Amino acid sequence: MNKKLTELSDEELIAKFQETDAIECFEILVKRYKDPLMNFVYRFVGDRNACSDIVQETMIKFYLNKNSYKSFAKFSTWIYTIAGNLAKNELKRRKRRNILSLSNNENEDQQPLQIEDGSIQQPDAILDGKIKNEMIQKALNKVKPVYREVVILRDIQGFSYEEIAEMTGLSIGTVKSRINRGRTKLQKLLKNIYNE
Amino acid sequence: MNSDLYDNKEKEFEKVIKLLKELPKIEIPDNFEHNLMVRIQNKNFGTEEKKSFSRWLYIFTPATAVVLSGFLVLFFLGDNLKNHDDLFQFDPPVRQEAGVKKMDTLEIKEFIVDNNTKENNKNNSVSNTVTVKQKAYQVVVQSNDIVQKTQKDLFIDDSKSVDLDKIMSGENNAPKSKGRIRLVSEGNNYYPFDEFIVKPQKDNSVKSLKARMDSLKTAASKNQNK
Repeated sequence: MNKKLTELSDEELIAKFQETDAIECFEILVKRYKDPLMNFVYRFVGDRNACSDIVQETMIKFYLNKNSYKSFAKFSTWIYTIAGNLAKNELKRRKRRNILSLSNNENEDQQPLQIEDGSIQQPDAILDGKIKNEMIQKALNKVKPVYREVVILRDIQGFSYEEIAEMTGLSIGTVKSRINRGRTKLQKLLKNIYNE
Repeated sequence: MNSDLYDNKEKEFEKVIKLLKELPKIEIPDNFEHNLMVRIQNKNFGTEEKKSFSRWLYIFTPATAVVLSGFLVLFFLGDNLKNHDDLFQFDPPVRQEAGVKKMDTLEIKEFIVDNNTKENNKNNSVSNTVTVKQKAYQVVVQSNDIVQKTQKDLFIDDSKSVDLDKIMSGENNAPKSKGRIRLVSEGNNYYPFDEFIVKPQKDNSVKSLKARMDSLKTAASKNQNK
């Protein structure tokens, strides 16, 4: 029975879960989506502790509001929309908290990221290592959330423009222009990394 | 056209896209599923409880808005509503003014008559001074039947008035001022008029008496001659 369920598509599983309230369907969907959602939320919010809570909250919303999913939409776009909205709420909460913080300096945002402790570590080691990833994440955090979200969905999660448009509720043209703006900003910030 | 433009730009950002794709995948903690299922089994949906409370608050929003707007109306219009029994039924201001004028006129007319009779009784003679400070009453009948009576001075200006007694007796035919004369009228409204025209009437009784006297005299002289 379980083996059969794992062979079902996302849409079939959610339909079965809506009909029968079978918790197994829910568990399979959680297994399928927990890691991609974790990756998306972490890249969007930039905080490991908060993103685990957001993904859990996403799954609880999915469990409680399973009937609000309509079969004409893809399950992945539906669950990513929930996760994206929760991540945005978290960012808004943080923005309110840090509204007077001096670290959110506009001029600082425009500067390309500097490689920390370059004299000690070799450039190759930096590019291949953990620091590089941290710098990319820092650069992502400096991009405006409206651009960051679509860039992550496109370049990290690998969704099509149509799927991103459905998730965000934007037109395909707007999605494309936002992705390009986000990429341009990232290119400026990561100049030092890929010039090395 | 636009999509081609953006698709071509993907090559421009090739390096950035490559960097992003190479980022390591973040994995969720091992106890994630266990914690989630425990929360679901215990029905520990923290955010839902908050939401249900906020739903109750939404129910009271229209009622609160109505009460607050009522308070605001009473606060700002409170002084204006004191004279009204019904808060939402105001007498039109024009109607009220018209009512006041009507009552005012009646009262003044009545007063003038009283004043003349008193003067006639006391002196039984023609008054020499025309400037008399007379008093009138302004009566306001409110919508709740309360009658408000306020004393009001009514001036008869000597320079702009006519002594009718003098004109009748022939002492003074012309008005004193060159300007237009005002007629004592209703309330505060004075209607200008130029003068009274007094037409002298011929008294035929004297003539008839004279003729009678003459005829009597001629009859008496005839008798003496006989």
